[in-house]
Amino acid sequence: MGTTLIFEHVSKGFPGCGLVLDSFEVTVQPGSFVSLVGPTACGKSTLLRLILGLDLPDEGRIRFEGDSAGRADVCAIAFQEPRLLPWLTVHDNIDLVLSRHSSNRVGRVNELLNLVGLADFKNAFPKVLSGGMAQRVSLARALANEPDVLLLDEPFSAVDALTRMRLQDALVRIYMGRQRTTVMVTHDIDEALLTSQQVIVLSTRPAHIVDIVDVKAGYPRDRTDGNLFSLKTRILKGLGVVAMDQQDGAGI
Amino acid sequence: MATQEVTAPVIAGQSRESVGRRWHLKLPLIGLLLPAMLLLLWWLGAAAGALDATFFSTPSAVLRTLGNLLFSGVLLSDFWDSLQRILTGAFIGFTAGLLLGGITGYVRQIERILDPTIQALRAVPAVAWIPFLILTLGIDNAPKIALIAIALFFITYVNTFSGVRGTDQKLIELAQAYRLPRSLVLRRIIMPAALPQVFVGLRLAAAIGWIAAVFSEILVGNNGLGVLLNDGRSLGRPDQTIVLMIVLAVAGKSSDGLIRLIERRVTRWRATFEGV
Repeated sequence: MGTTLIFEHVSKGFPGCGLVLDSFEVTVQPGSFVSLVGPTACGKSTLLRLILGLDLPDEGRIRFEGDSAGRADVCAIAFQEPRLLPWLTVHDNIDLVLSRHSSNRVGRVNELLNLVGLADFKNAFPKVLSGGMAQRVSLARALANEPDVLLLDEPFSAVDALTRMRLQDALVRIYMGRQRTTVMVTHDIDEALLTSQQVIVLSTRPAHIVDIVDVKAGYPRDRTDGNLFSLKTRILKGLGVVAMDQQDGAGI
Repeated sequence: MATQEVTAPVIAGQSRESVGRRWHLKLPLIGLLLPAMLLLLWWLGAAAGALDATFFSTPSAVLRTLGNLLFSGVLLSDFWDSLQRILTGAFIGFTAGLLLGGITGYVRQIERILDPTIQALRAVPAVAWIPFLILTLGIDNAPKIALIAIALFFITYVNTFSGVRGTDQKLIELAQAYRLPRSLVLRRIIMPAALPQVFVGLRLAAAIGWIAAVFSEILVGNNGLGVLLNDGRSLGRPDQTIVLMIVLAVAGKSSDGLIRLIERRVTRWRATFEGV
């Protein structure tokens, strides 16, 4: 049940910016929701690109273990920006990625649009959608082929705070519906704590794991939960934010 | 202070609305204002004797000549001759430019093989082909169609190429992430992405098509609008040359309008600035 994601000694560098990942190791348990938090440009997005196969590691390898491992469309991603094709309607944007072999594509698209609450916008072009709506289409598209591994690259970073909370709730709801292996890159610690079972705190480049925070609370979670707040402090410490403030004596 | 805050937006709103309405109401006719004024100036100038009729003719003489050319059927048959050449040449040149521009844009290796040669040939002015075309294809229809096709080929090639290359890399990455088959990437991503630029090329091509047709007909020809135009010159008939210029203006404007109409239809999805 579910797919395990294993990074084995993964190293990756880019010409001109040195090593992004240096012998990185982590195992994502099947069906778990893991968030990666860390400073900007520390290699979080590179991790996702490696999982997708858009980039190849210089050294080491990434393994998928599970019943459906080896299938081509085992992963799907929702990018930071919605990346909808402007010349296709909402319906066609989702239909585009649906497996050609799927028997009832129209039904599946409708089902997905209902899931993200956009059934009325089926025939709209992306230019009329708000940022939050476009991101919901992107999420629906990522779920289209029922991937075993869902990758989210700061999916809600470009929308306003209220929309972001709604989208986070939607994401938790979707995860509760089917607990698939999910890896989310985010800058938002609250978001990570609200959605994930495990928060991996990364250092600056080359990224290595500073702390792994397990979040035991069940779903759906309460944003105002005091336990989550103490975990937030721990993550901030891991990121060096709290420590630095104390050194400077400045506070925020 | 408070009253200013309340009244200012109201005034702005009112004026914007009324200006918008005024412009929109006159929109279909407002474009005719300038030609009408020029016509009036010409007419007044001719009537007052300020414009020499042997060079500038008169609006009434031009109208008469237009009527004669229309009723005798000469204008229509020559127009049809020119149009046929343009459509044939455009079909060949546009299709070839679309195919080659698309392929070289899509496949780097083919670009490396073909593009240097095509760019070098493109540097040869289209009119410089004429002597060669006359020597090889004679002086009938073939060299004229060939000239139109050549001129259109290069402009379509360049625009299709840059249209394909202008495809957003992020969308290609999306296709890779979702492992879309190549045929789908071509049909659903690259072709629509290149479409606006292809239309830019098509509009330029239409204008160049008329230029190439008239030019080649003036140079060597026994029928077509260019021949009528040339006759006007050699017979010392400014009225006839002006009639032909007006016909070409209307024809060029119409072909451009038709292409823009199609463009608007097929690129409805675009979210670009449409002017204030």
